[in-house]
Amino acid sequence: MPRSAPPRTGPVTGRQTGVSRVSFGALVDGFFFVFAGAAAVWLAVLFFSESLSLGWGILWFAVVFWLLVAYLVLPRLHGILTRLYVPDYFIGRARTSDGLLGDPVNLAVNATETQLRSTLEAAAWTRADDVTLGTAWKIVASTVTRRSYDEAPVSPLFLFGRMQDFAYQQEVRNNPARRHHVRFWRCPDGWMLPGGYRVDWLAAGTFDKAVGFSLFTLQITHKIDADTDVERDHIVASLLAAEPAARVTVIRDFSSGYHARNGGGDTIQTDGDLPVVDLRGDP
Amino acid sequence: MKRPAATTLGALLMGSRVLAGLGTILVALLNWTAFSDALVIETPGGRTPDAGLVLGILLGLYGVVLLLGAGLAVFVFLGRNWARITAMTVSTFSIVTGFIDYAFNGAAITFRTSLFSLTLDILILLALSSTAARHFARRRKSAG
Repeated sequence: MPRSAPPRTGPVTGRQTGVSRVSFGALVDGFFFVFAGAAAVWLAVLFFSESLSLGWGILWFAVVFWLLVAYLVLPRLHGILTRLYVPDYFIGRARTSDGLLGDPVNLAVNATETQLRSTLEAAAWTRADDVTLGTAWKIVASTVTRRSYDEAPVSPLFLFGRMQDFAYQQEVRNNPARRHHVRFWRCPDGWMLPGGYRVDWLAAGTFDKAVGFSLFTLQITHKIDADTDVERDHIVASLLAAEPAARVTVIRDFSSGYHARNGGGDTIQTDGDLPVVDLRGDP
Repeated sequence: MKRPAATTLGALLMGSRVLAGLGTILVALLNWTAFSDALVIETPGGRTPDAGLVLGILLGLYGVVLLLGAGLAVFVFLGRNWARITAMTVSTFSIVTGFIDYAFNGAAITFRTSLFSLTLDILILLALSSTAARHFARRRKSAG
């Protein structure tokens, strides 16, 4: 019979009793997370009924209503639901900040961080800035002034419960809507891929082909090219060209027959092969 | 760990609520006579206290509350978890009160009444309860 755990604020270090103990702080956070979601739904309803009484202001209000639903209400509802039903272990997919399934993990690297970064930079990849209010403003400014912003941040995707450690990109002919980009996550110490392969880094590389409207999230996002293998092979080829000592082994059919959608609702197709690029040089 | 945008945004929204309150005080100070004349004071004893004095005390108390709110916003910005929890609790109370008024007393919530302040409360709650803001506040706490 489950015993009620006493409220605790610190990390849970108690005895293993078979009863999952949730800290008091986590319960409070969970409550506020869900309550804020419910409050946001109510706010959307209020805005909707207010818009009916506005008459000529309704167009302006429709935009506010859409922003509210797409960027506040739906992400929070997705966040609540995906916490319940999306597994939090490795399933070959990164997750968006709302918990939806994001880009497929399609590349692995064995290298130190310095080796990986210097090879990427030698291969004409540009480090993407982190998402901050400052860089968000730079995106707006560069769009308005039509200047290119090579280091534009990429959206955060999560693997091992962490945001990507860093991301690199290549812009296509100064067109901000189209770009090559790849996110890297450092694997936890001692962690192995399914099948027992030990790698230092996992990466998800996709090609943004246009900016579009996602029917999944109702947000404006980059649409990615469905054939993620083309982008994966492009990244591997560019690394090999920049670092002649690099070696590639391929785990065949790592995620075979993989036809699905990413977090923005774009379809993904792949042959399922996972190249492991080794940049550590000859031992 | 860098301060996530959600934390900055939450603190900014809290700050804007304080500014709006200061604006209200300023309007009251500039239209002192009109405000104190509009004050209806009912006392059981039948004595009529000085309306200006009552208005002064009310505005003073409101000013103290705003000052506390500004302090709380600063601590939220610095990533203190107690400040984040306190701010979320205050917003939750305010939202629940508004909802009870709306659902049971039939209060109309429009831009003329309380929709603006309710929107602020809900945005603050959404920002501060987000995963990024939580990790930031808890990380700082465990780091000391």
